[in-house]
Amino acid sequence: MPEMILDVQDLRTYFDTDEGLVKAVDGVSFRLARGTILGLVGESGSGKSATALSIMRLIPNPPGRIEGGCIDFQGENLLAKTEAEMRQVRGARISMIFQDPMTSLDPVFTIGQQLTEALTYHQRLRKKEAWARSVDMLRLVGIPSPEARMRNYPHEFSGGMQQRVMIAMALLCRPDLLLADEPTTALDVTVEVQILDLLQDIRQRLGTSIILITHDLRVVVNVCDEVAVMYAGNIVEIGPVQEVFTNPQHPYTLGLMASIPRPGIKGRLQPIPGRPPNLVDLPTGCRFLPRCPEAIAACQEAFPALVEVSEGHRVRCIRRGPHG
Amino acid sequence: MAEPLIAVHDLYKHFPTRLGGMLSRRLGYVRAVDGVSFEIHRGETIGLVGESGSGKSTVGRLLVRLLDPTRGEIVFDGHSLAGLTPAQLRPLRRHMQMVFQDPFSSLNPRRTVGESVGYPLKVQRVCRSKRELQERVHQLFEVVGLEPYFMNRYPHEFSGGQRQRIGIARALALNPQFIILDEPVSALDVSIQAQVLTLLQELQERFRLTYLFISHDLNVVEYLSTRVMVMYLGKIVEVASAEELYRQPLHPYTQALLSANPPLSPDDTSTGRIVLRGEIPSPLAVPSGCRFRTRCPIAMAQCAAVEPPLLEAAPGHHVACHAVV
Repeated sequence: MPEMILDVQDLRTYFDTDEGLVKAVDGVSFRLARGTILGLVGESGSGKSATALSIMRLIPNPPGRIEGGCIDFQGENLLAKTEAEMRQVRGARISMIFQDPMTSLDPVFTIGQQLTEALTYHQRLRKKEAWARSVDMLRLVGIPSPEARMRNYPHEFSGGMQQRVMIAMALLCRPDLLLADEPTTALDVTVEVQILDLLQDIRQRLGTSIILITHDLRVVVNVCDEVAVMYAGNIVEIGPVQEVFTNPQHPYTLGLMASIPRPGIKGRLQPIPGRPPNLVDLPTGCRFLPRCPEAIAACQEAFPALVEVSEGHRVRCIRRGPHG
Repeated sequence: MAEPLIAVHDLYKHFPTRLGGMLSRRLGYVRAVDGVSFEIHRGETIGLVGESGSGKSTVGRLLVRLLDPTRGEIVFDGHSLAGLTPAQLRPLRRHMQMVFQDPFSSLNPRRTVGESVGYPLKVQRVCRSKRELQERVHQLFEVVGLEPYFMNRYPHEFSGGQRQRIGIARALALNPQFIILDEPVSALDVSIQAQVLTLLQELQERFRLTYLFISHDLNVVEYLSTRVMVMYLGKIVEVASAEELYRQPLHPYTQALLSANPPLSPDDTSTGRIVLRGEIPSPLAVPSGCRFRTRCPIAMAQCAAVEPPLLEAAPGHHVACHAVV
C-alpha cells in the first residue's frame, strides 16, 4: 500500500457575495499517495482552484471561509493549524505554482535574491549555501547557464523560462506536495510539452506528489496518474486516468469528451446544452440535472453519493453503479 | 478555377520600435508579418495556426485594414484594398467582418448589447427606420441562439459564451461574405466552446460564409477548417488541406506542433513526440536563412544561408523547407 500524504475529507469552502452565499467547494473528498500526479479538471467556477487554495489555507477571509471538513497532510490536520504554523508548511512542505508566473515573481528583485530568500527563511541556510542550492535547482529545471541567470530580473526571462523559475522556487525546500494551478495555460504548445515533461521528471526524481489543476483533458491524459472531474463544487467522477478515460461514466465527463474535437473525426461535436448552475442557488438533487441527457425524475430528489463502479473508480450519479 | 474571394500577395507589416518619447530613436522593426502570400476561396474555412508572436492575428487585422500594411497587396472580391481612403473602403468593409477573442473587451460596456449589434447597421445606413433596425437586431439575436429580450441588457449581465454569441451577431449584421474569427473560442470553457463551434458551422452553411479561422488550438482548427496555413515568426511555413496537413505534415515545425498536441486516448500517448528546444525567437531579431532553424531538429548548413521559399511539394500542399523540397 503506497503511503498517503494527503487526505481531504468533506471540504467545504464558501464565499459571501452580494448575491448570496457561494458554495465554491461543497463536500470535496480525495486522497493522494506519495509520488502520484492527480489531475483536477473542471470548467471555470467548478471549485478546482478554491480546493487548492483551501489546502494552502490561502482563501481570502472575508469574503471566503473554510466552512468545514478535514485536510490531513502527513498526519496533521491543516485546518487546525494557526497562521504561524501554516507559514512553516507553505513553501516548505507544500508549494504552489500559478498560471501567470510574471504576477508571482517580484519584478524589482533578481531571480537569485528571490530564490535564496525561501532557503534562508525556511531552512536557515547561510547565503552561500542558499546560493549554491538555488543554482542547482535552476539547473534541475533546465535553465541554461544557471549561475549567470541568478543575476537576472524576471522580465529578462521568456514565459516558459519564467515558469521554470517558478517551479524551481516551489521545489527549493523539497516539498512533499506541489499544487500546480493551470501552469501551462498561458504557454504555447511547444513550450507546454516542455513544462509538462519537467513536472513528470520532478515526480520521478524527487518523489513529489502533484495536484495539477487544468481545464484541459489532454493534459490530464498525458501527465496524470489519477483524475478527479469537478462540477459545481463537487467531484463527480474520480479514478485512475487509464480507467476513467477508457470507461468514462458520469454524463458530465461523457459530455466533456464529446465537446472536444478529435483528430481524424469529422462528425459534428455534441455540445453539452446550457450552462453550469448558479452556485448561489443550487438545485437540491443532482447539480448536473438541468443539462443531463440521461436525467430521470429520481435525480431531482436527493443529492447523489460517490459510488464505486470499478476498482478505485467512483461516480456521483444514481444511474450508475450497482443500483443504476 | 473560380476567382478567389481574397488574394494576398507578398504582404508585410513591420512595426517600428522606439525608445523614449517624441524625439525618439528608432531601435528596429518588429517583423510581425514578413512576406506572406495566399488565397482564400469562396465558401471555405481556412485555418491559420501558430504560436504567440507568429503574426497570425496581425494577418487578420491587415485583411480588414484595421492595420495598414507596410507593403504588399490585398485583393478582395476583385478590388485592391491598398491605397483606398476610409471613405472608399467603407462599402467594401460591410462584406468583411471580424469576431475577436475576448468577448469581455470587444463590447462597449456602456451600450446595451442590442445597440452594439445594431451599430454597424447605423454606420452603414442600411435600415430606413428605427423600427426596421429593431427588427433586424431582433432577428440577429434569434439567429445566434439568444433570447431577443436580452437586447436591452448590458454586456456585464452575460456569460463569456453569450457575449461571444453577441459578437457573432454583430459580425453578421451586414450580411458579410467573409468573417475573420480571431481565437473566437479560446477564452471559453470546453462545453461552451463546443456550442460556439457548432453555431459557427451552422451559420456558415446557412449564409454561405467564408471564414478565416485564427487559432493556436490545433484540434479546433482541424475540426472547422477545409485548408490550414501554419505560420512561424511572420512567415507561412506550410499550407495544405486540413486532412493532408494533419495526416502528413511535411514541415518540421508542423510536425513538432502536431506531436505536442497529445491525443485524448490514454492508449496511444507519447508516440514519437518531438520536443522542440527553446522558444520562438523575438520578431525583433529574426534568424538568418530559415527562421525556424534555431529550433529545428534537422537543420543543415544551407538553412542558415538561404531562406527557403514556399514551394509545392504535392498537389495543393506547399511547404517552405530545404529538407523537403
